[in-house]
Amino acid sequence: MNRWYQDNKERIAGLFPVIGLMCLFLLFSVTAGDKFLSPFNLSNIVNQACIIMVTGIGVCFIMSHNNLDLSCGGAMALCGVITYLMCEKISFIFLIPGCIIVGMLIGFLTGCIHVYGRIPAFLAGFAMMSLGRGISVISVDHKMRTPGIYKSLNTVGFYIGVLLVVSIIAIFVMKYTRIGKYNKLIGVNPITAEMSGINVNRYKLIAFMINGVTIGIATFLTLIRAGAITNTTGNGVETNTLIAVVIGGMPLAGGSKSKIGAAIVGALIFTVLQNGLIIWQMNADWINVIKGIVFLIIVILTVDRKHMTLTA
Amino acid sequence: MSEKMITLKNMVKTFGSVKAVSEVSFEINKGEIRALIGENGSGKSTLSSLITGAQQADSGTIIYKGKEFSSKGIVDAKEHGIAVLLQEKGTLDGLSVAENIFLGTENKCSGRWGISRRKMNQKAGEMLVSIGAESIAPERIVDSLSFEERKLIEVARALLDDPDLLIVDETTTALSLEGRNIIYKLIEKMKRENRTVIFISHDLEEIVKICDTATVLRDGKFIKTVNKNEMNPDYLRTLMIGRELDGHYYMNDRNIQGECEIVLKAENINLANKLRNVSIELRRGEILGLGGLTECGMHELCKVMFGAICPDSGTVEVFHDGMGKRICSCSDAISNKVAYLPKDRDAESLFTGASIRDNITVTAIEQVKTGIYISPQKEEKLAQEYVKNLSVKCNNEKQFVSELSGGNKQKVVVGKWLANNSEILIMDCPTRGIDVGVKKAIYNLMEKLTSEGKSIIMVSEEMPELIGMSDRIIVLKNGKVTGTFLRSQRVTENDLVGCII
Repeated sequence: MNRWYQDNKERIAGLFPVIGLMCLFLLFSVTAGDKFLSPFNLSNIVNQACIIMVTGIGVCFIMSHNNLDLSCGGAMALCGVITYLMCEKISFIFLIPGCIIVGMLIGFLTGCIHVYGRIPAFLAGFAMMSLGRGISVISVDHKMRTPGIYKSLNTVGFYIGVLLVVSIIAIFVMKYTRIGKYNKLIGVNPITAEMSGINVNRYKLIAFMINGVTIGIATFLTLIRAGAITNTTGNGVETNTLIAVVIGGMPLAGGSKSKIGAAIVGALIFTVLQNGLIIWQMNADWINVIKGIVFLIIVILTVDRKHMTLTA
Repeated sequence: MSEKMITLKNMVKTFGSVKAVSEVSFEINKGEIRALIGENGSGKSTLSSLITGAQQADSGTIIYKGKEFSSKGIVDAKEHGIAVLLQEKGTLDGLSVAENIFLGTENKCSGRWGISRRKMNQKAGEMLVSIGAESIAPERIVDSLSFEERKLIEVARALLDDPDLLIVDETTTALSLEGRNIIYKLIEKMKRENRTVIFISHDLEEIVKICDTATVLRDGKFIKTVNKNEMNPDYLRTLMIGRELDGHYYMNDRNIQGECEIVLKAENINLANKLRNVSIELRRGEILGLGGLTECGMHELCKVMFGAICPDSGTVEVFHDGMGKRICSCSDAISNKVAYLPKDRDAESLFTGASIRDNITVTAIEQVKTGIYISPQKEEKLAQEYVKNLSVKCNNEKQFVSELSGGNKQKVVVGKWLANNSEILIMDCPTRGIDVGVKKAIYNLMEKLTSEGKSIIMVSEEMPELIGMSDRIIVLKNGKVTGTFLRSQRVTENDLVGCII
């Protein structure tokens, strides 16, 4: 029994977020059953969770090499505005590839600021967030509406489809390619990584570009969901993503235990919690307080203190 | 008979299901220098941490100076006169030497207006002179000091309160001859003053030289306490591993064909004030020993040859079939089949927070992937192969490296570099902090590798090892080559010391 536990410790620990999600789901089903379980509400949860899941998947790559990304929200707004303005000049056929490419470039830029400017990544991301938010607010006007044809994509099926494709690719990249492996190893020990022949800067940049791609996809999803770009596009996404990913079991210091599943489960926990509390008619400010407390508890329970004292 | 300083009775400490210390009892007299020896993982360090209170025992009693004693922690122990010197770095960067010495005891230097820096520096200076480290200025910031000088600062700090019991936990392994001599002198002084020293080390020659008695532990159990007249390295070794082991575990004479081709060449390497015009050549199939004091530049030279440090001038070249390729970065070195096993394994060549498998396959990704897909089955197979060949002691290849002992960690490092078929191995202190059994395995491995045509550069701070293993020895002093010796010349330690100091 003990031996079995030792061998499967990881897997058992990995189940906690899933169990947490099930408990939450059960709690709201019992207390607010008819409203919570209505098809409309459930599809709403999926729609909301989807965007956080997609950005969260990107953030997992950044966190795996022991960095944080705080750029998501601003970067999404920037990505949306740039792509929209470009498509307006050429054609809206390019909205999807445009979002992805512009997002990737923004991610690349954030990565370059971190890697070549030798600035901590969370600061680089923070700067990018402010910058993106500022530029988008300046350039946005109320005529920036998503063309009608894309609005028809605003269905649960489409969201789930996008999510499936993104998560399958991400899990493959994280588990079975150099990109994932190397990023996780860089998270464990960047010096050893460099001295084992890993080009640390290159693989960090690749992680930032992957994060950029997911930002682009999330931007597109926001465009079809909200129907337009406004000056609040992507507001608060960066913190919500970070909270969701950590709740889902992503180690704060990255490393070998990094997994994409954290983004998926975490986003669901986050959205179910928020949604359930709204149905309970809780005041929005109190919801934020609860989210903060849940986040804190998870961090206290999961943070690797042994590792912290070693590096501090 | 003399009085007892400390008596341990039935000490037990378990970590999970592992008994690190089980039912250990022994006593140490005042004025005695007691060695505590055993293979890695035999419980030496755990036992010392039980005495200092850094860890709490599960059961058992400690009687210290005639009274039952249970320390709440290192600070508590210090107040009761028990000081400890550890293997790891224990100084704080950004503070001066004096501030480090008086860390936590700044009150001793209070003047009229609070802590007096002048007084602190003066007292620290006196302390440093008294231990024989007068070359370290108390005002200096520790960041600029070498590892060895920092260790001496810790020594000064430990001796500040005139401890009655000093525990030296593998401190000397990291020190050069000079540093060791300072510590030996202090131990002698403690003995004269009728105080007690517990000395933990892997270096059996050292123990026989300076200790009065030696307590041997094996797998957490007390084996025997040996008296001075019975102490000799071979006997201690046998007790430690519980089986006979040939004392001459170094390589026998062998004839290296004089003119094998050169595989690696470093020319006119200059590096700040560390290396001056150093040129060395490594031939196929040879073990080239690099010796000298810790700060002589040999460790830096290894890093330069691996491309981890860029020299100010000079070139490093690797030759394949007569074609020379320059090494400018670690990835250059690795793609030219050069491997580097650093002195500081945990920090520079292991991913301790990752599995053995990930550590071994990192350099050999090409072998386990098809297109972009890395096959977990192939990874597992590759890792298992090296775990088996090198007999790494572990549950399975998925176990984290942080859970392994020092010797097994080194085996994983070796496995990592063999997995990508390295031809040239630069080994910096390959047996540092490794117990006798695994040492022997590493020596055998080196012999086997060279017989397969691989070439090895070995830096060593232990002279018997250097003389026993190297086909050729180059000695460095203050960043310059001061001597070259061939195995055939029947080198003695005296010959080497002449060039080292």
